[in-house]
Order: sequence, then C-alpha cells, then structure tokens
Amino acid sequence: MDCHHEEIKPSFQDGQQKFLLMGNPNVGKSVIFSRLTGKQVLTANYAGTTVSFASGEMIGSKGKGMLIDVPGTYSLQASSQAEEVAITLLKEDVDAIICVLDATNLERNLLLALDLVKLKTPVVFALNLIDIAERKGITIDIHKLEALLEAPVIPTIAIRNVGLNKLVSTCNKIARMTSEKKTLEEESIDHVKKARDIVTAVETVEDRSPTFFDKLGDWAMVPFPGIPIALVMLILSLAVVVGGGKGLRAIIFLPFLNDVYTPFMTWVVSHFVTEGVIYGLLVGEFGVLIKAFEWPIALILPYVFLFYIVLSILEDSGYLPRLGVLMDGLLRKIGVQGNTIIPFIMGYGCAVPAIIGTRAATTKKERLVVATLVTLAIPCTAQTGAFIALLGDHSMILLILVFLVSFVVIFIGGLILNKIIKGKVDPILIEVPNLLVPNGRTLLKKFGYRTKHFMIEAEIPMIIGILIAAVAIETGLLSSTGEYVKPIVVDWLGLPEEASIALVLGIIRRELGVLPLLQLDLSLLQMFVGSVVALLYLPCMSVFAVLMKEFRLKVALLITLSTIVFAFLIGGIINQTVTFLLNL
Amino acid sequence: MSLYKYKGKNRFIIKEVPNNQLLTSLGVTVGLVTTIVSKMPLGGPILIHVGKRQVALGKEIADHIIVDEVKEIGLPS
Repeated sequence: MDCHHEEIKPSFQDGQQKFLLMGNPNVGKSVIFSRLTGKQVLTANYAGTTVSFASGEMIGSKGKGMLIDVPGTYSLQASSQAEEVAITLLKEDVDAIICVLDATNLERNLLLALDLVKLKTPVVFALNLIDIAERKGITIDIHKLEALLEAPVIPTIAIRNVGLNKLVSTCNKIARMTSEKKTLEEESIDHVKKARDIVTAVETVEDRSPTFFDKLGDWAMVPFPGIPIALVMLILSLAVVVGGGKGLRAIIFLPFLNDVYTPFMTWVVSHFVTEGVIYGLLVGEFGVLIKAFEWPIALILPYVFLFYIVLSILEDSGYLPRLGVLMDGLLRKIGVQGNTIIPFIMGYGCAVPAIIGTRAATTKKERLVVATLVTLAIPCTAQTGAFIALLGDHSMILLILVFLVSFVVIFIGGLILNKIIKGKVDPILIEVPNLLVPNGRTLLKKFGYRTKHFMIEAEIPMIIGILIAAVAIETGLLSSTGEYVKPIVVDWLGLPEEASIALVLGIIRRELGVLPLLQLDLSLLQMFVGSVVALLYLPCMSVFAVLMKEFRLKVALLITLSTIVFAFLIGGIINQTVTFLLNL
Repeated sequence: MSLYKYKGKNRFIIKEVPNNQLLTSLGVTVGLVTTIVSKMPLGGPILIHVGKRQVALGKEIADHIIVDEVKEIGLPS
C-alpha cells in the first residue's frame, strides 16, 4: 500500500509549465489526456478508471507544458484517496487548470467547478459530451455560462477530437494570468444552490423521446429485465470469445500452422542439423521454433484478441457499473461491493490490471478479497484460450465445468475470506453512467494496444518456458526428477509424470500450466483435473510482482501458498472421487 | 420513513441524510424531490432518480436517509 506514495508527486523540470486536468469521475478526462499528450492511458465509461495520475507533455503548448491527468473528484474536500491526490497536486505551482464538465450532468459538475474558480489558479472549462447532451435534448448557453463562471468555456467532444485545439490555445492564453475574480468568493458558499441557479440560467431541456440505448440502460437497472439482460450479455460474450476464437483458429491459424509454418521450419532446420538434441530443441516435441508460434499465436491470440474486443465494448458502453449495481446484493455476501465486478471481469483478461484496478475499491478488505479471488480462481484470457485448446475439441461440457468450478471457488473462497479478513464493506454509492455506443476509433486503439501488450508480455516468457521444457525433455532431466513429484502428480492427481512440466511452467505464465498437457495423451478426467489444478494454481510471475507491490511480500506469499494448497486439494478430490465412483 | 423501506410509486422528499460528502456531491441532499427506480435483489441497493441520472444507494446508506411521501394534489409530475 505504501509504495505508491512515490507517485503522488510528479517530477517537473524547472520552468516547465504545469497544467492540471481535473473534473468529476467519468467525464472523459483520460480521453482528453490521451488526445492532448498522445499518450495511451486506459479509458472506460465508469468512475474510477484512473486510479493514480498520469502525466505527459501537452502537444501544442508553449515551452512543452506538462499535463497531469488527476483522478476524478466530486469536490475538494479530501473525502477520498483520489481527492487527496488532487489537493496535493493543486498545492504545486500550477499554471492553469483544465476542468472537464459533463454537459449531460452539468448541475453536479458545477460543484467542483465552483470550488476551482475560487482558487487563484486560472481555469478553463471543457464542456465535454456536448454531442450526447444534444441527443438528450439539452442545450447550454456557453456565453452565459462563461459569464457566470468568469472563466472561458470550450464545448468539446473529446472522443472525436472536437474543440480540443481551442482548448489548448485557451489554456496557453490564460496560463500565468493571476485571476482577480473576487465576486464569487464574497457570495455565500452554498454551492449546491449556486449550481442549481447557474443551470437554471444556462440550460434548456427539450423533451426527447429516449433512444433505444437510453431505454436499454434503464431496463438493465431493474431486476426484471435486468437479470435476463445480464445473462444474455454473458452468453453473448462467451459465444463471441469461445465460438469466434475456435472459428478463427480453425479457419486461419491452424491451417497456417500445420500446412505452412511447421513444414517450412522443419524443412529449414533439417538442412542444418540432423535428428538429435539440437533438432529436438528447435522443432521437436517442445521445439522452440514451433511452439513459440503455435502456443501464443495460433492457440491463444485469437481468444485474447476477441476477449479484449468484448471487454473494451463492455467498458466503454457503461454497462459494467450497471452489472455491479445488479450484483451488489450477491457480492456483498463475499465481502465486496457490487462495483468490484469490474476488477473481477478485468481479471478474465489479466490479473495485473485487475489487481491495480482494486485501488478504486473503498476499503482495504475489499482490495484483498478481490486480489485473492482473482489470483486464485479467475483464469486470464490466455489461460482460457489454453483451456479451450485442451478441452474444447473433446468436450464442451468439461470446458463449462471448469468455469463452474471457477465460480464455485470464487463464491466459497469469498465466503471464507469474508469471515477471516477483518474490516467492513462500505455500502455501494455510485451514479449510473449514460449507456453509450462505444466509439469505433477509441475501441480499435484500445484493443490494438492491449493485444500488442499481450504479444510483448507473453512472447518472451513463453519462449523461456518452452526452452526449459524442451531442455528438460530432450535431456531426460524430466524423467529423473519425476520420481520426486510422483506422490502428488501421479498418485493423488492421477496425471502422468510428464504433466509435472506443466506445473513447473505454470509459474512463468498461467497458460503454460495448461499447454504442455496438449502434448500428452490424456483421458478426459485427466484433462479436467489438469485444467482445474492449473486454474487454481500459482499466480504467474507478473501477478506475484504486482501483489507484492500493491500489498506486501507477506500477503503475496500467503496468497501464493494458499493457491497451491487449494489447487492440489481440489484437483485431487475431483480425481479421487471420480475414480472411486467409476470403480464402483 | 427510511428510504430503503419506502415502497411507494409516488414522489418523495428527502428529509434527512447522513453526513457523507459523496452523497452531497452526487446530489442526494435534503429537499430533493424524486422517485424510486428500483430495488435490487438479495439486499442490494435501491436506485433513485437524481436529475437526469440514477444513483444507486446501498442498504446501509438508504436505511439512514429519511424520506416522506409527497402527496400529489394536482401537481404536474
């Protein structure tokens, strides 16, 4: 926990202009930040996406100004971690503040605006989401608003780059102008009333019949049809990822692998080396040249790619907070509030951003519960891809069973954690965002970024893992160490000795705990047990590192230890029970 | 009556709110006249309209918000 204090103060160069980008949660600050600095930061349609601040050079500013993306705040009362960060940043010598306002929710946004215009620092307002406001029949008189706030107001549609040039030029103009607006300070400080008065003066609302999306957004917020909608979303997402992934694999990736890539590599290698250890290392059972393409690209990438498409759409649509509200009652039973559904779902992509994302959770207890459960029982997208590769071609029922095991373990594990971790769960208190059609360009950028990230993150550890496997098998090292693991792997789990290689590689990456099983001739039961063990088994090295960084070494070790125990316990129980029943 | 127990379809007015900055920021303040959107199952949150948006309030907060039904006497809704 303590180690992100270092991030509270960004490093400034002397004489560099500093700009703060502020605003309520979920008004599009990070989108504006990405556009103004060219830096890619994660954006989504719910509050709390930015959990610490990002900073970058502002394109088009004089003297290369530094822009800081401050986490969203409703006020300057230091009532949350994000607001404390904002206040600390405001104490720095800041040249100007860009405050983003949500045009569809002006009254509430004005509370922070009124706090900011009282400061000595000049402020420019970006009245964002103006297109959506228009669609909802809201018109805002910009000039009147400028007059009332005594600061420039620029209408923007950040996601489509509208108004941002003007925002930067205005920002440059006002920087270092010590403002002399005293009128606002002299008046009463009842911001709530003042905000209401301003809105009455500048805003006209025309009754528009709600769009299909508005209606869908409202339907999702009542138990019926909210729950059926959630189930349909789940099934649709699974269909896209599993069905689509299998399709992509069957039509593009596997034919390319089997008919072009493998024969070509084998042909090339056989020109230089003859059958033997080196040959085996390159193109043999665990040949690096083959597996480094087959595993991450032909087997896993289709699922990773599709999962990130689905996740990005869900994030940007504003559906996830709705799901959180719907699931709150159930999730409270396991010691977390509904909003943590977001890190849980992110965990199906990768546990690292999920665990970092828990910073948005209000209590330490919730952070621990989510981090532990994500590490223990949620397969990352790469591991899911590996499950599909292993089980999907043999038995869809077993594949679904693996996910059922995951859900059951999350629930039971959560019940236990809720009992043993002290602390309370704050009641949920969130504003439901607009349901929006995600912007195509932003989506493309987002999953492009995530897929690239996966390729970089996955490829090198994967090659290392495959090399270890190849060396262990080709040199016969594996069969000599097999003796030691026999009691657990063979007797208890009922897996062949060679499966222990999966347990070793699973430390490097979660999908490597599954993929080696593809090379073995396993029974359905063995595949299932192997999958369950891999699912629950150790966090991968990156996850261990992030656990250590976000919590403490002790916590990281404790989580790791309990996952190993859990994995062998549950895997063994399944094996022993099924074997016993079959022998009856 | 506490907001969590309020069952009516009619509008209600908020009489008392616990001291919570976030509530004020989200516009859930004394004097707000609004309606219920829904209540989620398993002791889940209650949703109310605030302006053009909806705010979800967990049971423990909604329990401490005191509301009164607004008698609709020829009022345009």
